[in-house]
Amino acid sequence: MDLRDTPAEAELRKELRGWLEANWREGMSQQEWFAVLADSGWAAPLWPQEYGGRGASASEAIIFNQERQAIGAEPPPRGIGVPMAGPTIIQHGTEQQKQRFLAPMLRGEEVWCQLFSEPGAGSDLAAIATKAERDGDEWVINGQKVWTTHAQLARWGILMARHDPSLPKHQGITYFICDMHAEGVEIVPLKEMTGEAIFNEVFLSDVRISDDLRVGQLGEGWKVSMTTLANERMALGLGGLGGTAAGAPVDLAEADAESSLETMGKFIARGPHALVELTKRAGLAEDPLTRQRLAKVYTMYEVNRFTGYRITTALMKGQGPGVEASTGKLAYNQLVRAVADYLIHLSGAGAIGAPDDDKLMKTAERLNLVVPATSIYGGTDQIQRNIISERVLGMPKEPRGDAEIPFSEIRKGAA
Amino acid sequence: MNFAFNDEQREIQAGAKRLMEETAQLDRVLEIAATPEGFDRDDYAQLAELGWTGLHIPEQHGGVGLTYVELVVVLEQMGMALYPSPFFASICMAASALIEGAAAAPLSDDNAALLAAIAAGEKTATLAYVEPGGRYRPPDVKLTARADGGDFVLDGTKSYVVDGHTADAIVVVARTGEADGEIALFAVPGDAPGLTRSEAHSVDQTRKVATLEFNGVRVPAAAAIGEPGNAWPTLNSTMQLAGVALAAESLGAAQHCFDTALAYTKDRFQFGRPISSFQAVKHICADLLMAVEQSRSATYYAGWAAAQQRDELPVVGPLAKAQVHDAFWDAARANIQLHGGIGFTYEHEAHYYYRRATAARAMLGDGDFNREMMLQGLGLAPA
Repeated sequence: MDLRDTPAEAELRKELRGWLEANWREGMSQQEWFAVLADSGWAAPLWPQEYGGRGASASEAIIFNQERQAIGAEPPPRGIGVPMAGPTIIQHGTEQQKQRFLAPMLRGEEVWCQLFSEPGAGSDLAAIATKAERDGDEWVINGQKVWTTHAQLARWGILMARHDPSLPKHQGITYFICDMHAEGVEIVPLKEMTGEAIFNEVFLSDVRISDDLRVGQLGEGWKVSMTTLANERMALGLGGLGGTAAGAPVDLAEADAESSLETMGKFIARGPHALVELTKRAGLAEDPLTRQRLAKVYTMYEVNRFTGYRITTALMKGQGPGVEASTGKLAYNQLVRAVADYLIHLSGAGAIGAPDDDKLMKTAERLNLVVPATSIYGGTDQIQRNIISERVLGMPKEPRGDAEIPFSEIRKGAA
Repeated sequence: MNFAFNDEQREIQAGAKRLMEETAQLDRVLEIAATPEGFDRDDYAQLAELGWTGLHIPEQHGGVGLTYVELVVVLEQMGMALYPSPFFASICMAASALIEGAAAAPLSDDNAALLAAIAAGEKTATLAYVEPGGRYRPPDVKLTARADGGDFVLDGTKSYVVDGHTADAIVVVARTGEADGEIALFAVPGDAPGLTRSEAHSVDQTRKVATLEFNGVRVPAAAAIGEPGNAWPTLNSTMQLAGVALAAESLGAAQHCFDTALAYTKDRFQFGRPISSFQAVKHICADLLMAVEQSRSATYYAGWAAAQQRDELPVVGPLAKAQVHDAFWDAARANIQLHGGIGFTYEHEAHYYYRRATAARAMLGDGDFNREMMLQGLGLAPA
């Protein structure tokens, strides 16, 4: 056990730092930087070289990411594309799909969105009702999707649709790539409880998709979507636990971020010392009750950081992450709730209504309003607990009334 | 980066697991715990033979010279079995006090010999800090050390002294002056004239505590550990190290509670199906897994900090102590709850772990206390 770099890691770190310093410069456009990352394979280092990655080892990817953060360089394109759609296409897509979609995805030239959830299919995702009907070499799609981030910016969407309602629910699903510019795609912004609209509803009316854009075999949609969702859980659980050094100034620029979700992500990434600084600034550093609360949130940050080292170690050794990784998203959600609540505490009566010019109170208000989303999106906390108990702890599934019968005969929705 | 055990550490872990299987089945544990001494001297000799009594003690002091990480590895297995042994008191409290003290002032010949004897398993020792008020704070140290010629004379009472009735030597925390920090540590022979020792009640039947009365106990100045009147830093770092050790034991015990509860939910049928198929039960288990794994991360990190990254110890030591004992408490309670009625019977083992959780949580300061220590370690001074 030694958390310091091995000589080989130190060497690699030096080399990667050199590359980053030579290639990243403050003020370069996102487009330019994305191109540099894509051309060098660092946009998705773990992907095979033939698809624009580097075929890098996990330890290379991890050290690159650490060094990138250390010099303050922007990350490669994120969202639905590189983290989720990309790995799914690599694993299940056709060669033609890989050649067509991966390169522009890595350059950030084409944004992706996810057309999975529906009004009647949230936690029970396999209950999707959007229809895919075959018409020659094409499929005709009809249905409604919801909670679609970036639908209005997206060029492509990964889509789950039902090609055969007479089959049991998990067997009748097929996975497609949907052209978001196609006729019949209607995008309606969805105003969330924050007052913002970062999600959308997407209505699909007689949208025609070529069979070339089917990912995986007919009826394999559920299996293919598991690849996407496993990558999503991983991305959400490993969510930026960076950290500010003790005593560093905390400017809270994120109070004015475009979306509350962004405010949250950036604030959490500051790490626990930001909370210590803000506590001092609020004049509460000597208050015994505040101290206990601070210590509890600080502890959550730190145990997640330490657990992150265990996951990193496993990945660097080329092993899959162990049981400690399975609880990542739950642990992250627990942390963000506690942080939001702590900032509200620091705000005092300011929590009634944050003045525009008070960045702490504004950050607190935005976090507090957005934090209920974290334990819902990407699989609710309750679904995460089911997944952990069933897949990690080997506890049996609850008996269910919908797995074996035709989808069309299952009772659905509210009574 | 390698935040995993190396081959040698894994070997020690396997050895400890084996030894616990051979010598620490619960019926034997309870049998030993019911004896007046509360431990088995042959068992202790075996620990010494394996080199474990000297694991983290530097070679120049007669130890093996490995690190705190190896100690954590062994303790986790001991805690899992509720292993009754003066190992914690002797190695993780008294020996650490002597090692920490040696960093502040060279050990006297007597104290150096004591440390070597502890490392060799020839003697056991303990740390006597807390007093009848039960608080681990400077003002609560009331036992006085009065300078008299070249000696010190000790008067006062120490409570909840772990294995204090059998220890060959007691590292006692005494007050030399009025100010909070005027603290001294002395190594006192267990049979010193004026020292009366009696076993005290503990809710935890697998670890004995004692009450120690000091009535004019005379010790030479050479008995002092660290700098008399200024031993607060020595005591502080000893407490941090002991906190990590106790966390390691309790991590093992928490894991045992979780494993036992989980296995039971798969065997127990109600409403025609295993109770492990109910989401109400599954969610408890998922949360416990998270709490136990977070505790593991905290304990191992604190063990590594104790070994290699000492500037972080004042923060991560108390952090681990608090985190692990919160989780142990949750796991011990959930173990009873998931067993239902049978879990509340005396016959079932669950209550021994619940009792250990109660005592270990309070020992070396509870969660709130350790969280406060952690903030002070971060440089946030209290009011």
